[in-house]
Amino acid sequence: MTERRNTTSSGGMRRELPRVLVLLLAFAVTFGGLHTILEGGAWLVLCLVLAVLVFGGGLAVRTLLRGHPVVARIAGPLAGAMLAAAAIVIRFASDAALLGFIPTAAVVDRFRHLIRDAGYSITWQNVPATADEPISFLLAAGATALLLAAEIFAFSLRLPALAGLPLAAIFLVPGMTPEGTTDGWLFAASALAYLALLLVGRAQVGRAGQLVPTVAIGVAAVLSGLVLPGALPSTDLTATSSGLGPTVSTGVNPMLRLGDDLRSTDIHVALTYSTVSGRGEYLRLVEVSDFFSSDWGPSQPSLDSQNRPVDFPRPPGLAVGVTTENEVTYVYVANLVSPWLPVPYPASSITGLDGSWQYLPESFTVASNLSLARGEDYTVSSVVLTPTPDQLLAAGSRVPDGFGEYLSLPPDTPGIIAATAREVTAGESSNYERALALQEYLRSAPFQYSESAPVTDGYDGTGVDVVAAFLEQHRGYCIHFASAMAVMARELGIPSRIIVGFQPGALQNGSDRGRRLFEVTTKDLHAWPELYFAGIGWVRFEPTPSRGNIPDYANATTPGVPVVQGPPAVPSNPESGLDDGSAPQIDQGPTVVRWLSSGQLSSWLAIGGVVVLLFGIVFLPAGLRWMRRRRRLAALRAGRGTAASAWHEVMESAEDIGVTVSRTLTPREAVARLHRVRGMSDAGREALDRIGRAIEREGYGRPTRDGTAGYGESRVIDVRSGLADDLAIVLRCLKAGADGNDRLRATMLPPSLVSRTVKLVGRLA
Amino acid sequence: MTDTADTVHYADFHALSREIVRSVETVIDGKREAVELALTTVLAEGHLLIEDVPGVGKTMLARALARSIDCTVNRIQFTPDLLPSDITGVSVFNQADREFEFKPGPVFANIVIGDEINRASPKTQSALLESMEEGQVSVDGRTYPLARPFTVVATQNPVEMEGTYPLPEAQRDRFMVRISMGYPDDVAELAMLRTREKTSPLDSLVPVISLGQLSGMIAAVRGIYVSQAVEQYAVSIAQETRRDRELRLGASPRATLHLVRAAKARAALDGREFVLPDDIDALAVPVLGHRLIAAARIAGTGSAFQSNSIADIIHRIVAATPVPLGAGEPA
Repeated sequence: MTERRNTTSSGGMRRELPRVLVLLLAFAVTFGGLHTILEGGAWLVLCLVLAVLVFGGGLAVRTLLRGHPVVARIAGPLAGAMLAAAAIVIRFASDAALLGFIPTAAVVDRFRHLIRDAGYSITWQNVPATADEPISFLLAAGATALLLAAEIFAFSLRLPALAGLPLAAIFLVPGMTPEGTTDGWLFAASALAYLALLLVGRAQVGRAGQLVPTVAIGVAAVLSGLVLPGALPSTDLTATSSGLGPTVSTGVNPMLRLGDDLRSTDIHVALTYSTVSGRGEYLRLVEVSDFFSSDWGPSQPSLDSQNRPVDFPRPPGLAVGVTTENEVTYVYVANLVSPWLPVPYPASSITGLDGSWQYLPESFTVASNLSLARGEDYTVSSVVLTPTPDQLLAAGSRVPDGFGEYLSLPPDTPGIIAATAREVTAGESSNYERALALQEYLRSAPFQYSESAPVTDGYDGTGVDVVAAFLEQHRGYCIHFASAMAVMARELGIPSRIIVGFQPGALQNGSDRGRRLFEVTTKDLHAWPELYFAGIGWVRFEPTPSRGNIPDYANATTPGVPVVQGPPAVPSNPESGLDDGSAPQIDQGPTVVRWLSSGQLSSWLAIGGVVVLLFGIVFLPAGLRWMRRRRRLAALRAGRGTAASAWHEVMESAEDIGVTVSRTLTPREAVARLHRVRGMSDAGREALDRIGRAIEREGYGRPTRDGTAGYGESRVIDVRSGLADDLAIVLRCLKAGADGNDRLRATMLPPSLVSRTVKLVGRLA
Repeated sequence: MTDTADTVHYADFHALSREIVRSVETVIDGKREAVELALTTVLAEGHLLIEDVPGVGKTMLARALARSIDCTVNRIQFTPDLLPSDITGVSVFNQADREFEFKPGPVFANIVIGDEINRASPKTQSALLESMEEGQVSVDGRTYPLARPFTVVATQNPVEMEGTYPLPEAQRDRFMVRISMGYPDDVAELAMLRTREKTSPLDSLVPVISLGQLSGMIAAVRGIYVSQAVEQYAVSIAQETRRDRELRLGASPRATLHLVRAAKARAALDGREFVLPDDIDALAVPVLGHRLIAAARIAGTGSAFQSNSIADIIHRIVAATPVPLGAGEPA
């Protein structure tokens, strides 16, 4: 006995290795398919490591415990789970763990925070998303769960076909993500890997009905991937451009796709507003102050529920002497889908908001991690800063403490930026004059406004390298001008930040309660720098030629504004920067809009998770039912089954297609009842009779010595012989007689599952 | 009568039983079910009550069955003035031997046909019924065993008929099976007219099995296997009759015993070595029907005519009782 076990197990080991490798391959390819929604490659490595640990751990344990197959089946996935968990701890919380990998309360706490932050990151990121720490963690946890499911299906339950479910779940994620696309090639590759898995697993599972569930799972996966995304109702989080008419969406980081937005020919109205003064307003969405990474964007805001935007603090740095003017702006957000609220600077209060919004005390931007701007109709009270040139000059070159964040630049910032900045501002004595010089420099020749040149020449995007390239090429759009001015200002010691939002937009013919109405479209998306002056605070500049308007204090035509020397060879002229006549329209589209509209990565992972869950729930009954049928058939074929197995299978299959066979019928009466079922052929009836006779002998006959039921001494009939074949025939007939609806229900929501569960519960009770 | 049983194999059992049925059917045409039930009762060592209006062949069935088996048969015509000793026998003083000598009554036979049993007084009825239950007769302090096998086939008219004493329920309970003949269909009735024209077909009937073979068949029936599931099923049905609100009197434990024993005979007649729930189903009405008493609001006191409602109740109970499968599925 022991010897036989050993041989089968070592043979099992030899057989299992290819299976493990194929499964690993299938998962590797399928994980790879996520590249359409996640940037970088570290997350893929992480997933692969986890896959190796789970499957490798399972294989190792099964090999070690080859004498105890049942124990090995349970211990295999357990070992995989422990290895994967340890790996996750080491990767995400080794400093908090005991010996670097043993979870402690601090680790749990860390994980909780990671999960919370992941939700945030998902909401605020666009597709393809950066796999930051929280997202990586979520991915690792989800991947581990799916890997374990596959391990259990393939090796513990020996149903390799069902390992397709976790694979399908991963495959579905990009399809469910707004803007996420499915990589066709990788999909084909993972389908092939899955087929290979079935092929190598075939010997293990036997013949019984393998094809149907396989095909069903495959088809279901593909269909869900193709159909579900369109069929799902759009939620606030996913409300981008799908099905809601034209909308404008901005993501968390509008800068990423600014150029795309500008170049887009789709123009949508984002919002309308009117002001008491009748003047147009710059409306701010996000602030960008961290220039270190190559993808600039707003830092993850830490929202504080105390900071409700009904009452803003005094704008930072604003001294009493600075002239301000009160302004009230009435905003209606039509189609802007954004977690940021368009608000003029500096606001003092906002009323009329429906959603849950908080302001960020540093930047005075208003954000939400629950609500979206779309549909908000609100009133903003703000002040308009009108510092005099004298006040700005008086700020000199002083910079108060605590502004290091707004002065820091990456160490590898190209020298051309500092050189240019110094060259342009040579001879200026105050920060104000230097700022004017920078603005003037950027608004003059040879700088040209162009949305296409950066793409053509390969320096589209953000980052200090892009700024350097822009200063050499002299062509770009608002993001380049704003970035250049902000970075050069920092080189000169002037605190600076970049604001992404909307320029004032176009005046409309209509009016809003007597006030002039402005309409802001996607083409009004814009980026501009804000510089800090002691005693005044943050002050807007407009270095982009042909966009927006230059504030009075920065406009050389305003009396008192110092004339800066600078290198401008050509006088500043808004038109001079255009590279073609239609430029004003062309550049308008700041990237923010596109960013959101295209990606609205918002919550792709959450949706993916929900889909996985739904998928699991939807197919759970089918899977359970199928597993039971398969187990019975396999047992019958292996000679381990009893007539009762065949009998129950017939009864449950009949129940599944809506043929009720009462438990008060004797087997003989039940057989007679089933004879009349539609689709029952003569062969089916004969098979039914044989099964009926078998269950009678087994259930009511005299037990024979070996525990089975026989038929008299002289006529012992092996009740098991041919039962599997008979059962298969009967099941075929039952299926053939059922109409499409019944068959679908029988597969997806088998009623027998319910009655069996009820029975079990009843027995327990 | 000696009780020497031949060994009857299951293969022969079927053939022998067919022979008997065929033989009886030469006399009683078109009543296969009644004939088989009668045979079932004999093989299960029970007693048979045939209840129906006069002239439908009750006595004919009883006599044909008795004739087909090579055994002793006595017939007692029950009348109001029949005395118990007319059935059991009497002790008479033998002048020559100067001692009492027992003269066995007609009950000393393998098959006793009691015609119109409900015409006799209750006292006489009970004399027969006691011997039925105990298989012996006690006269003047001495006990005389009855023949083996021993079966009483009694006929009775519906109670509404004039001059009848209805059997009390305690005595009805002693009959294993109650059948009613029913009127023949037109084909059978026509055929009967033709065959009865000249002679009684009963006269040409010859025994088809020996007493030894009958004993062997009875022994074979005893060996039929009854699984726990079937026993449970029979018990469930009996208990349901006791719980049922439409019944005033449910099935007695003896009724359950009779049900299972009859089922064994039916299984054997069907060529099976074990009892099926179907046997129980088929015998529920014949075995239980005459023992149950409907609640007051349901008319009838157990007559075949008025017991339709009883039969309906039994059918309902049987149809509502879950059938234990007996075989479990390996986990």
